[in-house]
Amino acid sequence: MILVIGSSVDKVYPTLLSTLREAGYPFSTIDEDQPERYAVHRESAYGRTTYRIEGTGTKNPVGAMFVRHAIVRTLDQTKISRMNLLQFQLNQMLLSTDCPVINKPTNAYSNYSKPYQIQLLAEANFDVPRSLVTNVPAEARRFYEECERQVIFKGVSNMLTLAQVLRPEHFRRFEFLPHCPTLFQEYVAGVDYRVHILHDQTFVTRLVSKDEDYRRGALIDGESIVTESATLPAEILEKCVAFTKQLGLVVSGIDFKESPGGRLVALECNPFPQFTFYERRSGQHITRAIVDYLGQHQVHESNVFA
Amino acid sequence: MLLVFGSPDDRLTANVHRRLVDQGVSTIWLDEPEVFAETQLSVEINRTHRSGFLQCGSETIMLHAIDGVFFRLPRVWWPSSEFDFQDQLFVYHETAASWYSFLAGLRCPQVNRFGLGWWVHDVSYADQLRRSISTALGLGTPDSSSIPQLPIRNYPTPVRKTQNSRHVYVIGDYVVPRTIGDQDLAVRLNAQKETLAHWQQETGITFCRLDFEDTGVMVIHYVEPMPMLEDEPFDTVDKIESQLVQRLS
Repeated sequence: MILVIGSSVDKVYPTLLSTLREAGYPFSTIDEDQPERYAVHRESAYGRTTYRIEGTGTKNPVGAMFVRHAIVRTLDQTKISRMNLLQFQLNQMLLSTDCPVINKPTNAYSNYSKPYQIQLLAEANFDVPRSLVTNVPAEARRFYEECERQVIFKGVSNMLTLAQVLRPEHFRRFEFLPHCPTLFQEYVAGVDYRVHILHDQTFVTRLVSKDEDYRRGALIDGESIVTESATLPAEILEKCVAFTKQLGLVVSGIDFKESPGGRLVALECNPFPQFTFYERRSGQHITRAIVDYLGQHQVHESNVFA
Repeated sequence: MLLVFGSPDDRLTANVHRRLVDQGVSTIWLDEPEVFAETQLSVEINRTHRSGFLQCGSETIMLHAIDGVFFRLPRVWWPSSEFDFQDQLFVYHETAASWYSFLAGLRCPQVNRFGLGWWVHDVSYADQLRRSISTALGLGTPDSSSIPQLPIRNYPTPVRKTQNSRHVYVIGDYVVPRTIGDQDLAVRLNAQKETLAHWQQETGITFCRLDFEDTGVMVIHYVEPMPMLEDEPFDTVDKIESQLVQRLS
């Protein structure tokens, strides 16, 4: 049986469940947005720890798991505490589970720090944009000039920010920079690629948008972006697979920009990619592939029952 | 230049700093608000190299001039309340993510080079350390029953002595038994130096206290990567400080 841990408010969760249903794989769910419904019981005997999760409506051994933790969408401390407790207990369980997990949260921290990830991508032989993390206004100005005034800025951590092209009218906001470091990158104009990696498989999606960050175009401005299935050189895709495995992930989404001159730079690696956004537009069957992977890689003996 | 990141109230930080200065090592000692709110930071990364500097007061330290980092911050800093809460949260994570990338890119000795689990306050971080070292040392997967089931933040901890507890401090390849009764445990770990070195490389934890529970079968109960030494025997503390200084200088 497959256990799906996630959030019913999230867009991936309902698509994954309906695909599991269509594919005919037995599954149960933990909706972290309703943490009061669940209890995680831990039992230890003969050096082995077993977890039983109440509230899923089933008590079957879990052969594989899909995890995409809910994020806090409230300031209600009681609800936050309940969700924190459930996620803490589930994360402890995930540390000692024997079955395949897409993806273990402990392996998914690298995108907490985007410049750190840029460094990892560079070490993995990807081309990366020249990047600066700083809280010094003069440094931001220097970088802007050195990059021939073609610079974008965005957040350093994994908190949601959209990339923006740096323009002279932004300079007055540099007065806030000493309070909060920011990531500046040379602006590589061109088309975007999102490569989803599932173990050894890759799904390449090409996106063309007027906006420097296609997510703004698609999500905020309602712009119709071109989204289509595409290909990239095999060498790049092999590096994507190797990089994902190096991080201990089964699934990832790596973002690239390709300049008109053919320069392909890696921007970041998402350990919890929102693949439904891409497949809905491109027609690629990423969710189905993930569901089949989970179904076909289940272990027979499990220490988790849900 | 050696960077000492620690609280002025922390005796170990103060003693390590004093010993380094006594040896003529150039140091800068910054406490947590100075690091996260006052230090200017600039790091540039491209495909092949990394450069940048820190500006602490009037002193500029180029990245390549940093010879070592002693890092022992309690992580209690929070951005100024002049921002609204959402902005405080944003500033907090942006600052932590920046400092993580800065430290992760340094190639000099660091005690300790904490993993991202520690930086994001993952309350299962201690359990991850325990499991990884337990597996590395061939002690098997420890029983989880002793692990708290409540999300308690990992603050620095002192030794919690119980009837069956045993404790050693590990500094690089040097193992310091807490007491004479822990000597045999230190000998045993000294025989696994290569394994320990590999674990230290993987985790970035080159200084820690290992708490064992000996009930006939030796099990690692806890790994404390920021041990408190205030109540420890003088000889033990002296050895630890001396090894830390040797490792850094």
